[in-house]
Amino acid sequence: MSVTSLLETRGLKKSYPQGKHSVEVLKGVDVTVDKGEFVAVVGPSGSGKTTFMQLVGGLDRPSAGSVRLAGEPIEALSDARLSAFRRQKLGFVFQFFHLLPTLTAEENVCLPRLLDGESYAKVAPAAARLLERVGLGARRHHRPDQLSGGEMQRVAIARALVSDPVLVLADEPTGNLDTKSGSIVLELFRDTVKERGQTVIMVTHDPRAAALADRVIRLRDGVVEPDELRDQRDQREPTS
Amino acid sequence: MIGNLLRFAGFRHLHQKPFRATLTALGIALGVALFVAIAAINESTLAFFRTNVSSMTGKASFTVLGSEVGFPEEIVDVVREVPGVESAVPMIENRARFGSGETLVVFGVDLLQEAAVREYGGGADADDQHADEVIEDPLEFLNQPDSIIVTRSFAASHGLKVESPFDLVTARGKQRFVVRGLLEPTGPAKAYGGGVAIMDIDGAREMFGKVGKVDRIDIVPEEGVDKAELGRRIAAALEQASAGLRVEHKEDQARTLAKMIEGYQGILAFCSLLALLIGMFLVANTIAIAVADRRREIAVLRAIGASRGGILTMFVIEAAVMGVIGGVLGALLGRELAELLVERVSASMSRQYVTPIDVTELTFSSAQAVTGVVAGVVAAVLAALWPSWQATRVSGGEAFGAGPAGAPPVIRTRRAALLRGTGIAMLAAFGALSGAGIVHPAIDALKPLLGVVGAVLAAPWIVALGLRGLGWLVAARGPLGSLAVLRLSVQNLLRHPARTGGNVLSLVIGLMLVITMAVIQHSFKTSIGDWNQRVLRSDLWVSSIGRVLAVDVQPLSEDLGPEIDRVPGVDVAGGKGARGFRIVHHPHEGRTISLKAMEPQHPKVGNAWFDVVDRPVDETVSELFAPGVQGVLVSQNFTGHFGKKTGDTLELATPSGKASFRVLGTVVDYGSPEGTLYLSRDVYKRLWNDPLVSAFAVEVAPGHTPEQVQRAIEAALGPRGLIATRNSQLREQFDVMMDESFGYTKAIEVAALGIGLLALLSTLLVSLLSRQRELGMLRAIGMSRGQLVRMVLGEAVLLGIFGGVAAVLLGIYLARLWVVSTLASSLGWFIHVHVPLASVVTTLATGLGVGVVVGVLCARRVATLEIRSALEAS
Repeated sequence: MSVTSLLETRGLKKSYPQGKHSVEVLKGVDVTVDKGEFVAVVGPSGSGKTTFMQLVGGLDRPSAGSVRLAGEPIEALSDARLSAFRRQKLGFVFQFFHLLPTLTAEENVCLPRLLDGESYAKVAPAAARLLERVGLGARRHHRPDQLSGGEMQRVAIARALVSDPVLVLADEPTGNLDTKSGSIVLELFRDTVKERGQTVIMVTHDPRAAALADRVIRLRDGVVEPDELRDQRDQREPTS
Repeated sequence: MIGNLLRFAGFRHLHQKPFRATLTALGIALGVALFVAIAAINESTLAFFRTNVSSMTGKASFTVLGSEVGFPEEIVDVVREVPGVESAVPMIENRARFGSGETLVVFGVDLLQEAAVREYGGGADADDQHADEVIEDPLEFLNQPDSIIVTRSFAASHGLKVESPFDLVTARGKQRFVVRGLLEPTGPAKAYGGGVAIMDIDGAREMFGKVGKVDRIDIVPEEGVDKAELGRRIAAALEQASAGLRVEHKEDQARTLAKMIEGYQGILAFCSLLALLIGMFLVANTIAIAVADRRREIAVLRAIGASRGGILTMFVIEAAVMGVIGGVLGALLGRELAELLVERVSASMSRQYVTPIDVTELTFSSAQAVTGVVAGVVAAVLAALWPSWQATRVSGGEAFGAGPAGAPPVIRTRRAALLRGTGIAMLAAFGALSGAGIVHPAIDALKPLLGVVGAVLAAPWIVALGLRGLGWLVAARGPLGSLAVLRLSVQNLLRHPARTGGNVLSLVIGLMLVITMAVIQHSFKTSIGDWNQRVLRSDLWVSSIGRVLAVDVQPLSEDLGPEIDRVPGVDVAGGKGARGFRIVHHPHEGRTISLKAMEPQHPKVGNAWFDVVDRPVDETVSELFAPGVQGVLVSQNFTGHFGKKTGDTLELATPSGKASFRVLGTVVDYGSPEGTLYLSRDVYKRLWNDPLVSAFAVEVAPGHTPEQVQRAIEAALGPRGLIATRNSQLREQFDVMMDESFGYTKAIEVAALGIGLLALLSTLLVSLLSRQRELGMLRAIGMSRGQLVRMVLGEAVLLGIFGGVAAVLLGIYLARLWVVSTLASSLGWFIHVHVPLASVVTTLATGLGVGVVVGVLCARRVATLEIRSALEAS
């Protein structure tokens, strides 16, 4: 692992049982992501994008291979340490926002740090600043059912950043938004993480979203597609 | 189409979600089990009455009955002379103690006339060639007054054979009898579960202090006679000859007995319906959550052409299948439960109605089993209708949606507010009506329903209030704001008030039943116990069975009094120590009241027994015992039932004819739910021609202890079958009796709580399943497994705690109104409400315990949650 690299996966494999057989979704993925990089992971449905993100985020365990994140081999962490790792070092942005309906926007943003044992009084100012940054300062006391889809995703972005994570993982962050809202949210997302110097891995289907990334990793049939193969295919099939 | 829907969609879910289906079916099964068991017990009790009546009446169409002290034997001749009467056969009927306190019903019969009415099967011994005869020589039987015949089953269970001697306690103390024959279980030998014995009527009169009396006359009419007309003629003849006698048609006897226990059976049936209701909540919740869970699937089915009717039918039939499974299981369980409870319930009824009801045989028919299954199915289908109708409102368009994007709104429906308002209004109406006393029979009958339905509707509101209060405490900026996981638990529960209410309701109903019964029982026990302590002041009580307060006390000859006085240590003040008293039941204006025939009390206890409330006690009591005065004291409930109060004149039908009594005062007395009269024993003896006493009250002379004198009495009179009981033992007996009277309710409470637990478990589990994605998200953003487990455990425990609180509040409210209003108006007793703190604590602890159990079971499920799968859940 180089000095500047934050994430390194080696020979990452994942298979799921399906009846009497098993389906290998990732077949040995080697990826390195440097600190401060904004990386998009693209690929057709079933290519293993989401599985890759889940393994990197410690939401699932690899069948083989390793994930080293911020110097920690996360596949070796216990469940409790992995939970703490997610709270303190990772931020998640989901396609369907996944906000708690009973909490206000500010409370939703505070949640990861509250679960880490911090007091609300201590976390709330940071949450308020983040909401201000994503343009929702005036709506921080609203509940999710009083917000639009784009606003909910902005709250989710603020929540992902509240712990000042080393890595933000975003799964199709614009997949449930209309084009206009998607663009606004995406640009805001990129600007916010850039100015904070945070590293992002974003899984997306959307070429415009991928275009905003510093680097694009393409997955096909559970492996990372080498650039030369990709270029050859892109010449045959102009769109991804 | 419906068939295919069920095959490819409905039944697949039952198959694929066996845990959910099993829990729901189990809930129904418990409800049905209780329903079936109570129906079987009620039916068995009625069958017991029918068997007894038909066994006892034999070929007779009418029976003449009086009070329990019997009536003059001359009445037999009066009846025989009525035109149309072919035979009139007298009988003595008495309960006698033997062995270690068991009782045997002894019939004294006229062997020469008996064959005209009843047939007995049996023989001198099992292999005897004269097996068709009860005894070989009736005259020999008559010549031997110690002869007795018992049933073959009784002999077998007590190791008796022909010529075996055995002792029975009679009015003359313990007497030895000899078994002269064995009866097969036919005719009267079938009555009282076979616990009967036959002896000659004259011997029985001697032994049981009924010389010159009979207890019943069974009448066989001549062939072709108009029975209705004959009944009228007999009644007229009796009216002329003696007061206080009634003639009952064979069919009326069982009906009269059945009517007596109607109220009791009604309470049992009510409890069983409540259990079924809890089962219905379980089904309604399960279907409602299944609808929510399968919303996308319903939308797809609608999109591809399933009709609304088809969707409705699919869910209703799913519920019906669970109903069938639960119903069948419940019918099987119900039979076992009935076997377990039947004797306890009949013993409890026996005490409550002061009538021997020994139901030992369970009547369980296939019709009852089928009714149970049908009840299960109907309950399940009814419960499923509303949530199934909700399913029909899902549009096919939802199939194209992306799923539950973001967050569903916090649900605060108008419907919940309407239900809550209706519940509170019903409770208020129940309170107002209860305070108003008897308004109208129909409204009075509706009162309990009003109270229970009101409580059921208001309970979720109370739980929500408690949760909101806690929510304020643990709010982000609240005093306990640092408890983030607890806050999530509270907010999850508050998010869906209707669902939370539904989840907790079954538990609240179960716990409410527990606390309501506990308050009613404790109020009775304390009020009556306090009264007993006030009035029963004698040091010792001497009786035949050592249970002065029991149903089946064998009365004793008053001649035993002087013998007790001779025992060292008995305080013989004023030349008399033991004071006899007689407690008998007496028919009065269609009810059975209690008569307490008393002697002037020992100076040591004064007039404590006479708890006079409206006049000076000493003055009233001295009037009661004044020579030449024919007066009575009436209990408060007697006044309530018959309207007679101090200063009025009361007419009683005595065996010596109608007699007028002046009402001298009103007393507190809990001896009979129908009313009690106190009178001088001298007056009673004269008018009722009954010199027996139920027990003697004995005081201990200075320098002796009650224990010493108790031992001395038992040493002197124990061999005669007399037992001395200390006052403290009497109170213990009372406590045991009260506990036994309500003992059967424990089984009902346990069953109701079991259903409550299952319902809470099922609905919480299902609601967790429907929150999979949310739980996955929480884990993804860093919630540890331990925090998730604590959050889920917290939800269940909070429901348990607030369910317990709601149950205690509502249960005490209902019990209070029941005790002071409903019971007071039906029994005429003034019972003070006493809330047993131990039961309150137990109920709250049970709620908490159920919450913990359910929480742990749910937590085990979420502990294994896979974040990846949870986030992908639909």
